[in-house]
Amino acid sequence: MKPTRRDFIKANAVATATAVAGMSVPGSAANLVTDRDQTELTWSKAPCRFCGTGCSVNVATRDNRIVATHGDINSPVNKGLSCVKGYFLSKIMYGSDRLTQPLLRKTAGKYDKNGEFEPVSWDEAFDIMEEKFKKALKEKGPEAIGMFGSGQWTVWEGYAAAKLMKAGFRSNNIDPNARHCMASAVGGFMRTFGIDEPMGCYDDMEHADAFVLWGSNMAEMHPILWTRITDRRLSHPHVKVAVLSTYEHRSFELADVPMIFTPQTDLAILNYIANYIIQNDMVNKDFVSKHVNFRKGTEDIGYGLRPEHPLEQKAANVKTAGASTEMSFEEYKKYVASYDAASVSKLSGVPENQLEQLAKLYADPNIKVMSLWTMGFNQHTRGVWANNLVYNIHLLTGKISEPGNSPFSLTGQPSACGTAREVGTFSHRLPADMVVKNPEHRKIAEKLWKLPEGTVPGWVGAHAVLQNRKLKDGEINAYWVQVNNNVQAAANLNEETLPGYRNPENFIVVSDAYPTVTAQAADLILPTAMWVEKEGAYGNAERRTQFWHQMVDAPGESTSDLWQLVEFSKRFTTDEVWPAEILDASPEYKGKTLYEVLYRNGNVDKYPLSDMDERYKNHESEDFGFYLQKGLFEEYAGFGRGHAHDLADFDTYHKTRGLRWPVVDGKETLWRFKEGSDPYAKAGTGWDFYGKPDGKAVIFALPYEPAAESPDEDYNLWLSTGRVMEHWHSGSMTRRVPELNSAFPNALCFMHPADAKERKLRRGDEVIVRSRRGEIRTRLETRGRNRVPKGLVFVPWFDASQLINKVTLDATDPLSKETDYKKCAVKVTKA
Amino acid sequence: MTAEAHEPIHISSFIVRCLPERLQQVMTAVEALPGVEIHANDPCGKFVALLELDSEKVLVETITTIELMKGVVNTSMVYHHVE
Repeated sequence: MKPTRRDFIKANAVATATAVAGMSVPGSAANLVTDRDQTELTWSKAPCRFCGTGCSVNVATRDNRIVATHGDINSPVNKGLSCVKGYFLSKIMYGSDRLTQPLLRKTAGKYDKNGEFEPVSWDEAFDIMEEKFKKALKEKGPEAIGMFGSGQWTVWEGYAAAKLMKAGFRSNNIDPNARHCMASAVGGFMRTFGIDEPMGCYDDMEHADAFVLWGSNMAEMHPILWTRITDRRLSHPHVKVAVLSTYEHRSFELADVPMIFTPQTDLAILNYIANYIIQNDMVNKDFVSKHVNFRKGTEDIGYGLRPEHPLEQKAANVKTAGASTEMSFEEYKKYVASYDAASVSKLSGVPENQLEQLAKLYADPNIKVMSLWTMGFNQHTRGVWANNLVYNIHLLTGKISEPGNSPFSLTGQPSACGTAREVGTFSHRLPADMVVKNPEHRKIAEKLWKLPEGTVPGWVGAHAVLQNRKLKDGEINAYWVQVNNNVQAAANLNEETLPGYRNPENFIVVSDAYPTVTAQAADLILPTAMWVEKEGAYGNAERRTQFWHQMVDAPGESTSDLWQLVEFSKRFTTDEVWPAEILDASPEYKGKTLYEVLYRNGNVDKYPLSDMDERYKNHESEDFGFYLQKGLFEEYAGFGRGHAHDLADFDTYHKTRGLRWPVVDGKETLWRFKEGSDPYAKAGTGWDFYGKPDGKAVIFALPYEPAAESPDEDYNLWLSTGRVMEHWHSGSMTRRVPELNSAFPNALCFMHPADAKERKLRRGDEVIVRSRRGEIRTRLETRGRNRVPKGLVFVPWFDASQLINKVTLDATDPLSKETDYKKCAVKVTKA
Repeated sequence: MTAEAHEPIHISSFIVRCLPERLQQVMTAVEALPGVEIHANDPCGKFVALLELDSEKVLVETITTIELMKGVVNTSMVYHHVE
């Protein structure tokens, strides 16, 4: 590169960074894009493919290939910044083993579950799928088929899947992998507020006086949001950051109040803070009297294990786990009184003075406090309780729904909010927070979907963990997995997951871009398009819905999940999958394909191809002959508009860097439930928790209860599993980026040096991590980015060669059905 | 630009945020790394680093090294040009 050109580029790089950092720009403000870039590259915006932060990136393509991404300077979320995973977005689609053809297990030219994978045509793939799904439906009915989808589905993929399963096949056995990450958060929202998703937004980060991280490692898992918190903390010295975890991680670098607690005792610490607020007379009495009801929650609710498990037999209230009774403030005060500093310190291992420091951040009315949590609270056998308890302390003090006062549930996946939760792709849900059990909700869905009454089934389907159990038990026999790697992700692999996938009675279809362990455990693999190979939409943690256009073609014969779902629907008629009673009552639906009743219903096929942006391709719409994504979106939006889930119109989102719902009269909502900020909060209320019939949020009295499996004499260590910054989830994308893979190539077992010494282990030794259920081989690490306390080890789950979920336990929160990945008992020995 | 064969050059800029009391030590340590220059800094604890390297692998290793330095709270990438 010529020196003058190199200097120019360097100056550009520095100028951009300096401007983004908010520091004074050296020299002249240079043009941000070089001439060469301008003439040869095409730039377009898209939300990032990875975490729930929902940064926007500018994507450059050349010759039908992505060649670069930059943080989008115009995004209010990341303002030009990028983290290391976002930095390498351009590479995730180009791993050398990208799937390009459908693959079916065969022997001697015929399908054989024990055969080797052979390439087949799409026709043949759909032939065998049709045969297997029809067989299961005919022999056993809709309860014998299942679908496991994703918080990484686009909004319209999730919506098309929910329609196909719930209205087409009439089965509620559809659940997303968001069950593993956000179900407890959803349960918390629904119990406390009667409506899902955070009431605050990222703007709170620029207003808070205190940040409390409850078990979340934002430095590695939400790095761009961490940047905003860091900026706030570093430029305003009065701001305090408290970081709580079961081990020390990178976020502790910024901590003013660092706290390590014994696993599960977060419940006790939360109750201690409530107790402290009450005992020190710091309750916001005006707020509480006007806006809060108190209820006592049911205790001793089990651990979501199979019913014959001793822990389930012993638990008193498994069947009534979700119930609660009215209580008074005085009764609540008495309830939390036992959570005093001394006993909570003893239980949790946190020194009393630290507990008090933390409590003061909540109690002091002059400190605006933002609480942040993800998997530490949610992947927890009492995850819903943990969510309820953190809302308790914000409600006791009235610190909610205003800038800086913000209990903020962080989302892990890019569209667990936008797709899984808002569209309702759960075994018990419908769009816009409606539920299948409610006959009024089913009627609304049937009306909006233009379907006969009684089409949508009212039985609650199988959630993630139950799907695996039913596969193992041979009750679900035809199963479709999209956009997840559940063989790697689900707990208790050897006892539950694998036997289910390999059960000879079951036919497993996996749609993926790469040959993950889940694809390899399947019978049919469908090659699937990724990210900007299709037109898409995601909804991030702060309720911001963001769109993108198709920018490149998917390789080979791969197609998007959306195309696969809609195309497959052509193979079924109502006569084949709907009962005679429904068709006799509504004969106009007889003899129609599911494609016709679900996707050619006058709504979904309403918008012509001429509505599309002519600069971009759109494979699905071109194939079906109408603007499919727009039709699906607008029909879906009909569920939420006018019901506090308002989305703007489709075309608006392509033009903006996203909008935070509810969007009413073109205006997004930053703080929900607050009069003046939320159009649904009634005048004169101040705060209106309109998700509840009486407009009041609920403080729940709930106790500390122990984990399902704690360390004992044989298995004498806690195992916590989680992530590292370089890898997204199961590594199926990031491990195929050489730079990210080499930065952190394999999983490790992080252990305290004293624990290692006691076991005659040294750093770098090959070790076996074993539980009652299974074992893995890994290497020992006693230093590095995570410093675990004595008695606990940490293993990340991104590594397909070290399937730590062989070791974990499939205990769940009985309310949310979300697996607890952070607590089981293991022993570690030399290999 | 002609299409001459040459080693790819990566020019990237970063923003590093660290605890203000460690700013000087961190900047000194970062500047000592090969291919790294420091431009613009703010006493509240942030500075702009420019990396000029011929390997993306070394780039990621350099980022990781900086991230793990005592006192560094986080790094964010801003601009990346390769040719």
